[in-house]
Amino acid sequence: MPMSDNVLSIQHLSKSYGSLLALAAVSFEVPKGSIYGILGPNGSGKTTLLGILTDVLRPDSGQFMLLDQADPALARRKIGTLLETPNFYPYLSAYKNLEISAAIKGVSQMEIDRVLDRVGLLARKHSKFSTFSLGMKQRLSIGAALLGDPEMLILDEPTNGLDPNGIAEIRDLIKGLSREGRTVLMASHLLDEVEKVCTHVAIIKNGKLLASGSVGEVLASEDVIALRAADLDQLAQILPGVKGYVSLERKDGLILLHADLGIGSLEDINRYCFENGVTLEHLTLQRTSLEAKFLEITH
Amino acid sequence: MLKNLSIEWLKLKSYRTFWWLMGLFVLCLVGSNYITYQLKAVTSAQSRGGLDILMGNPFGFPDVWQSVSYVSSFVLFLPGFLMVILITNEYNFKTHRQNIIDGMRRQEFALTKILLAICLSVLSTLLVFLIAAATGLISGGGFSLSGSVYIFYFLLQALSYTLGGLLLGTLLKKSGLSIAIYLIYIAFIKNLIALLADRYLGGIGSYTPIKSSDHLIPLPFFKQVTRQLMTPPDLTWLLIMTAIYLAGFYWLTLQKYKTQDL
Repeated sequence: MPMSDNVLSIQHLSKSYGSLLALAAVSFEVPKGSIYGILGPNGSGKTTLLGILTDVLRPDSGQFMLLDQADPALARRKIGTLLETPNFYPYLSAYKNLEISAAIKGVSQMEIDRVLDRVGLLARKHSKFSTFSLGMKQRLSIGAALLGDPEMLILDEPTNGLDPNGIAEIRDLIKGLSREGRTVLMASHLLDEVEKVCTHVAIIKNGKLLASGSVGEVLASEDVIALRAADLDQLAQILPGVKGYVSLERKDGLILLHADLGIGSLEDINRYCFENGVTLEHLTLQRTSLEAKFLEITH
Repeated sequence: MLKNLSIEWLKLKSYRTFWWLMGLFVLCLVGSNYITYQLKAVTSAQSRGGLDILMGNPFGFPDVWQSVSYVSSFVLFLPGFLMVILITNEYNFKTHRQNIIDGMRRQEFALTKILLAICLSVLSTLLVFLIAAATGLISGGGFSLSGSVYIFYFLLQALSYTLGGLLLGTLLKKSGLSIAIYLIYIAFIKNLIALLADRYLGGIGSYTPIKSSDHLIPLPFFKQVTRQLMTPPDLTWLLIMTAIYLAGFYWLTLQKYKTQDL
């Protein structure tokens, strides 16, 4: 087992802005090759966390280790970053701007045309950045982030402000990068996005880490199924044996079964009950609890 | 650091304002000295030698070093102005963040700007040296390096203006405000503080920021007269205070970049 399977390890990072506690002793690990989502409502501390990792912000306490590098600047040169608005010199062309980024990262100039082509800006490489549309500016940012084939990408709300086409493109890009073995760390306030794209997630609210781990663990879907039978007591007795059983409660003459329908389906539940001598009068799926779970965690 | 300077050059070489300001600076350097030289030549001719007794030969060796340094120092606000613009630009474009995100160390970012200020100062000093040497030779008389210590004082003055501008821009961050305060300080507040310090703090006005390096090169004209009318400030103290201010500008600029949120 290699010494560290993690590209990033964070320990007790804290930061306050005056009396406002932005991050409270947050710790988690990001495994290599994962697509790690930092999920939380706006103002939860996600951007502060990414700011600290990229040395834009200074933490009050705590530490982190990127890419097993003692010198964070050297680590940052192997990381592509997209934070908020694209920051470039307006009087310089796309090419000249990337020249500067490449020089800082220690990446060959040959790379510049390659990434410009990849983001579809090769034809405009000599145009001044100030003449670019918002979409082009964003694409140049992505190009800059891809310079030098980075091992890791750090993205802050990457689909923010994009149209559905752009969103799909970004998702494909992220998944493609992950397939190539790169790690992606992305902040988002959209549960849907994290669920569709990420392999791991850390949930942050009001600066506190509420949960972290694989998406399966953290956002395990716990569905609620309503059942009724002639003998509710007997039903309550046998239900714990159901595949994917989590818990049950009685309510309004029904039994509400909390179970993971990824493991056991409604059909399985019906068959199981029948095989155990209980005929169900009522069996419905009340709600899938992915959103409920998220709200529960962030309540 | 050489790599960082080359990155800085990438930022500068395509920046039109940089070239305009540098061109203006060279023009003013040559122009101001030329005009002063001509003025002196004309008034000397008119006074038919009478003025020369009072004035000496400020544009010949060895006094030319002091004269040209003195006259040129009035143009030093231009490179200082340039430093203010360059640093506030980075804040404006938020590229100071981007450079760090891309993998530059904060200390490197600050040191590179400081190094840029030093390069501008050295370049200015070289230009002044050349102008002084040329002027001295044109005035006739043999080339002499005696009295050329004023070129060194000019370097200290140039450093004060450029590093001072850099610190101001670093602290204030906004380009309009920084430029305004820089120019107002140079033109007016600097002298006001010196006046007040002289009056209320017992004559230490010459040792206030920027003023201390200004005073290293006293008025080169009418030396006979000025020597009798005014007591010059203590040279050692001027040098000490200048060194302290320069060290202060350097250290404060670096500290700001190490600790602030970008």
